[in-house]
Amino acid sequence: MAIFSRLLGRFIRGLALAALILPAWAFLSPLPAASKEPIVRMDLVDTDVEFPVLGDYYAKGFFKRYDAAVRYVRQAEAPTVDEGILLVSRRLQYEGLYGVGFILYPRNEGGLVSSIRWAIPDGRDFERDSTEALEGVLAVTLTGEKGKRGKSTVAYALSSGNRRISDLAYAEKEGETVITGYTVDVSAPPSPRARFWRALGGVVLVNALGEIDYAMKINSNVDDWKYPLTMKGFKRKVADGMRLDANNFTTNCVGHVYSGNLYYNAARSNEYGFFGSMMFSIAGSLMWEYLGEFKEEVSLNDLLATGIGGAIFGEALHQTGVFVEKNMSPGLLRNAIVLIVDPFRVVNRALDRACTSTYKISVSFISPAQAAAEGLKRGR
Amino acid sequence: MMNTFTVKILLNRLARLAAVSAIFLLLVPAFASPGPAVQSGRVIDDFARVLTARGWKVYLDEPGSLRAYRLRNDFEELRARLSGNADGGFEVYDAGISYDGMERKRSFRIRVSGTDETGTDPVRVVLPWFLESLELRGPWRRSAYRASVSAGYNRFHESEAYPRWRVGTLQLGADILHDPARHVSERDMRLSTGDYFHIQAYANLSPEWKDVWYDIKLILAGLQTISPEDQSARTVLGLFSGLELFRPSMNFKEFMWSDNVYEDHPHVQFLILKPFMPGIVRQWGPERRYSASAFASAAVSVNSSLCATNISEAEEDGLSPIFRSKFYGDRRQNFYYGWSVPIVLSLAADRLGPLRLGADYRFYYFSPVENERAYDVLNVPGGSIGFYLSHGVLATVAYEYWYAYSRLRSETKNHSWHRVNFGLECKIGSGAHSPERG
Repeated sequence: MAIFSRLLGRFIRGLALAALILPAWAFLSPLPAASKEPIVRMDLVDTDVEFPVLGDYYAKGFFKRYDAAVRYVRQAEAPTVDEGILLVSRRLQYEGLYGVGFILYPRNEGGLVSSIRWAIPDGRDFERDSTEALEGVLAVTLTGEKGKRGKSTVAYALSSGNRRISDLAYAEKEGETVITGYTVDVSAPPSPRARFWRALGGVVLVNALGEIDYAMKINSNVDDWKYPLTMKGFKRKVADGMRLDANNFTTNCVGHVYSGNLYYNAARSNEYGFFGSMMFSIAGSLMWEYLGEFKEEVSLNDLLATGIGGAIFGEALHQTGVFVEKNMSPGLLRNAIVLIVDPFRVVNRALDRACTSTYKISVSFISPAQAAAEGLKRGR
Repeated sequence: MMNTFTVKILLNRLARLAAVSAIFLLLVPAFASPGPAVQSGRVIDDFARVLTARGWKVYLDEPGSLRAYRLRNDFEELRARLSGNADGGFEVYDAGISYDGMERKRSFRIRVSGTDETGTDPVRVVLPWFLESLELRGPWRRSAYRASVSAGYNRFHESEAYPRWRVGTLQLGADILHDPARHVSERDMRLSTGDYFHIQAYANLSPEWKDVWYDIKLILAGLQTISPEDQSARTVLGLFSGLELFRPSMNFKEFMWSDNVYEDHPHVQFLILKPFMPGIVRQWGPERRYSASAFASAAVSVNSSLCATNISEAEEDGLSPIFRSKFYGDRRQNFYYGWSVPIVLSLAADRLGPLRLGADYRFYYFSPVENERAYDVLNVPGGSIGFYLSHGVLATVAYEYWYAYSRLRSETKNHSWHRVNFGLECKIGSGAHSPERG
């Protein structure tokens, strides 16, 4: 009994020691080197040598950013996805329009082949759209372990409100529900940077028109001139600060509020929110006060009426424009009303229509038979 | 010796305690792990994150279900639910979604994660289905807006020479309310900038007398509460921003502003910029037919004083510089920059039989920003009766009493007039005929 007790004591002491030492050892010991995943092999094939789209990307070093061994195969006789990814470009013509179709065959877990297809129509934004689509698909395909898609396909679709999932197809396979394919509808509207410049352009345009109006009424405006048109004059103007002006009520309370509304809606129709657009009405007002009316003192009441009053009035006209659009059938009358109420809305929507391109990225998990039909050797 | 023995005992006990603790700590995770948990909550959470990123207001009160609303110039309502059961090596999920009248259901049978290397994440399979459903909005459309236009005959009555007795004008009016949150049935909802927006405007036009008034209210942030029982009572409490203009003298013939119409007469005119305006809107009763609202603000303004208008140039010499007229060629105008306190109270009862009754009180206090002992007060109580000729058309009669009181140093002046309006009001837009609350 005593021996048993002693043995048990030693066992417990040993266990305690191990419990104390093991975590310390684990903590202090150097981390094992991360197991290096084999690099994915990716073959690029341009089926039409006249249009070496992927060759161009390859030559520009586009694929260097990816952890993949990339080969440019001018034309593949028998495409294979044995060892990774096959990316094929193909010249397309549909409904009289030309474009380039891409097919990407990644190997996923279990050796099954899937295909991701998308087609970018020819046009002014071809470069931008094809690059964005390629980046999106490769981010999905090359994320994580080789050729294995995780949640990132969905994550790609969700990473922007301009991508939407449709044509979702399910199948029951061995008692399990699996996705067999879906489409990501991508609309590529003007970028936020383009929208910023468009909004700023609108503000500058309003001020330029204001400047013409100012020049036409120069005889009445000359009374307010105080500073020479020089850098010294500008410095004096800045140093003098602001004052309340004595311009007439109409100019101050109607004209400035209306011009503030134009600045505001130049931004609002470029998808800025209330406060973001207000920043443009304030900026437009400052531009006008300091540069447009260069020779005059800066008017505090104008800044308030234009910057803040213009934003509130501008939101009213924006809402009125939206209301009209939602409640009238498309047509000349509707456009004319919205043009009067919110001219920048009409202009920017027309620009949006002209500058937004759409394309689809179809993801499907193809069967071995389909793979064979497409001339692919299936790897395991 | 004794000491060594004591230390050994203590060490022994310490070691046993450490061992027991180690064993306990090692085993706890095994007990804590729930095994093949059904992960409907995780899928719904991910869906909620996507909806929030896309501008929806999401409610996640019950596990495995969510309610969401989107109020961007529209009203969209969505319900999603996902329940799951373990079934051997599988989890069976029943998903359902309704989106403005569209109903969709589906079952998913998914291999339990971790038991097989081909096990599938339910997020990967079920979430795309929910996302695809967002493209399948149903036919229900409840308008975010309530709007009306009106036209009528407006008459002035006053004891002073101007406006002239029995001078009538054509009054055109518009009222646009963007208030999609009124369709929401949640007990509490936070309102974001622009979720409540109200524009009211009218113009009075005649060859001799014209005026324009508009009042804009935009919510910056607020809270909407709805009575949980029957949702008949609703309160919107918020911080608003606003802009209000009253400006007489729009010349109809030339369709441009003309100042000589009013400069020789007592008048008020104002532009009030209300950057921050606390306000409350309350609706109650069957179909929320009764409503009350109150808005008050400390604001900045440009306005006229009775003490400085309708006087000759010679009389102006005795005025403070800020009350003297500004000359624009052969025209003169008089206004000053001020602080103001505008208060608006409204009561209304809609669809009392064929009637709509309304009462308003608007109060304005103006005081110059310059150092001058002066102020102006404008009181405008009024009321209206509307008779429904059809579902969306009302015949209306409205009355307003305007009373302005001005003080400049020791001098005071007051002026009052009455306005009576007979008009027709027509509700417009899809909101005019859709069933709605409030």
